Amino acid sequence: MRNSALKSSVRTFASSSARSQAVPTEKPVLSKQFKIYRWNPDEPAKKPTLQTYNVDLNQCGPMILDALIKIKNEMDPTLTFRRSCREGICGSCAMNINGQNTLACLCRIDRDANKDTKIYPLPHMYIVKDLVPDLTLFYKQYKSIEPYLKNDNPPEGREHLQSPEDRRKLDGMYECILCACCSTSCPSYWWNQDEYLGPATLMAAYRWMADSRDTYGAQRKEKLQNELSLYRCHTIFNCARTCPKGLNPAAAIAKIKLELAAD
Amino acid sequence: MMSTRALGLGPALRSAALKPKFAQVAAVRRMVVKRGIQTNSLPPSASQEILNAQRLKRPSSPHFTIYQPQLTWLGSIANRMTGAALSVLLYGYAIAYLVAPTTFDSTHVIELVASLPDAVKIAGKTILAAPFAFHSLNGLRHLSWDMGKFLSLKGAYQSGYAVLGATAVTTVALVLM
Amino acid sequence: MFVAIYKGSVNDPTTFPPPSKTHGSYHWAFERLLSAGLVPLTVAAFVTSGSNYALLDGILGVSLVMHSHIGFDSVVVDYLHARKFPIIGRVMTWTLRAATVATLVGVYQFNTNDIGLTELIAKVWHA
Repeated sequence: MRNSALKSSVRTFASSSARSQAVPTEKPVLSKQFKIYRWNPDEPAKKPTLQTYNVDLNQCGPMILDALIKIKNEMDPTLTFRRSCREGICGSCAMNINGQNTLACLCRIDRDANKDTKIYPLPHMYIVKDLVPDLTLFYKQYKSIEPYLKNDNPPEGREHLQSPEDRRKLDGMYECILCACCSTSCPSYWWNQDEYLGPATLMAAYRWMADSRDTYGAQRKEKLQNELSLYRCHTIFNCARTCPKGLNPAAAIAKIKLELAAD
Repeated sequence: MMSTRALGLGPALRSAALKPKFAQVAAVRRMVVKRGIQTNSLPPSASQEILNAQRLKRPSSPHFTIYQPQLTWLGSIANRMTGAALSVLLYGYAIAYLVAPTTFDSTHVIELVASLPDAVKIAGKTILAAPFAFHSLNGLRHLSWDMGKFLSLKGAYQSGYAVLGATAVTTVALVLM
Repeated sequence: MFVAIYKGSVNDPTTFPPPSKTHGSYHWAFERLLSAGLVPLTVAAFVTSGSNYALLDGILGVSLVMHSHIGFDSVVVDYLHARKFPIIGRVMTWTLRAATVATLVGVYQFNTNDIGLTELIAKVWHA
């Protein structure tokens, strides 16, 4: 008896049953154009092109990587790109978005539907497919600067101590995720990739030179005493401008130059 | 198996399966020979050649055509171009004087410049003063970077805009002299 | 574009040329000192123009030509290095060296037999 009384009283404040049920709000379609660089190694003679995709931003996550994944899932499964962590720490999704090298997972989509977004792979790199560059040389260069602690007499049986001031010197360099955004933004690296090491590798080299626990500083510096490995840097500063982690390779390179001159 | 279907081996496979056990092996062997799959036998070292052949066909991604114009690299290339232009002028004049001293001596040059209309003189002064001012001021910015100053991104941008402003002021000052 | 085929396997580090401070830190330090020196020289030439200081003119002339040479050399190394452009790279390097020598001689002749660079610029500016 009481249940029906309650039900009818609830009904009196509603015009129909539909109104008392939750209904999701309809989002309008916000269609944005993405122009993406495509090249297929299965048809190598065909020149690279820009392919246009229309994405409804209201059905898509906020970052460029979300749009790329949506395109791959729903529109074109052949679109190829590297990705992993989706949080800006692995460095896989580095690409050139609207003219700047950055990580796709950290780059917000511009919600202005009147402008298109152009997505290119990292500049002046050999392309394996679509947005995937060949980073072999980049890794070989990183290996060449011996990015590990070298100390002939580590303390026996106890920790290798470092003061907080010495540790602070490494801040802003150890966080590098080797995404290659900076090196591929450097015009000197574009023209002389095979000999010039590039900002990422040079900052890594300085990270080990500046480490108080490392005793091979002199040998590390000796390696850079030539025309090309370090000295093709003309302080253009594109590297610091484009780093998606906010690091400053240009400053590290300037410090290397000062240390080499002081020798 | 998908591959047998693609090769049209379905019927042959079925008829082979229906044969008595002792004839089955022979039937399958015959079937494979009749519509075989092509395989190449390669040593592991051949993979490097195949990869290198692929590598040669890879395109190089676009660079300065697509990279966003920024104060960083525009300022840098402007420094190089202004320096090169002024040096070409210096080299050009010095070599011209060496080759033909009577044609290019100071009296002739001064006469030539004096005979030009005022508007051309002002334009000429601007065309000479602006690159000189920019290159000198940006040069100072470069030297301060080499000493460790203004090396942050903010510092680079602030000093860059300061150089641009100072160039404008200096150019006007030089032209009015 | 340089060749896409890498020396050694993908796991081998890239190599360094034999170290040479002449091409490394000494070159860099000399270039900076020269550029820094040009600042007081230019200012001095600027304020003393109107009268003729032959020695200052000479030092300024030589310093300017050396600074220009280092700048042009940088351009050749950046864009036309001999390892990628064996013929035109070497041709440009030697052309530059010849041009610099000729310029030095021309500047010397001009400063000796004529009014000198500072005076020329001053006169042309106010012509």
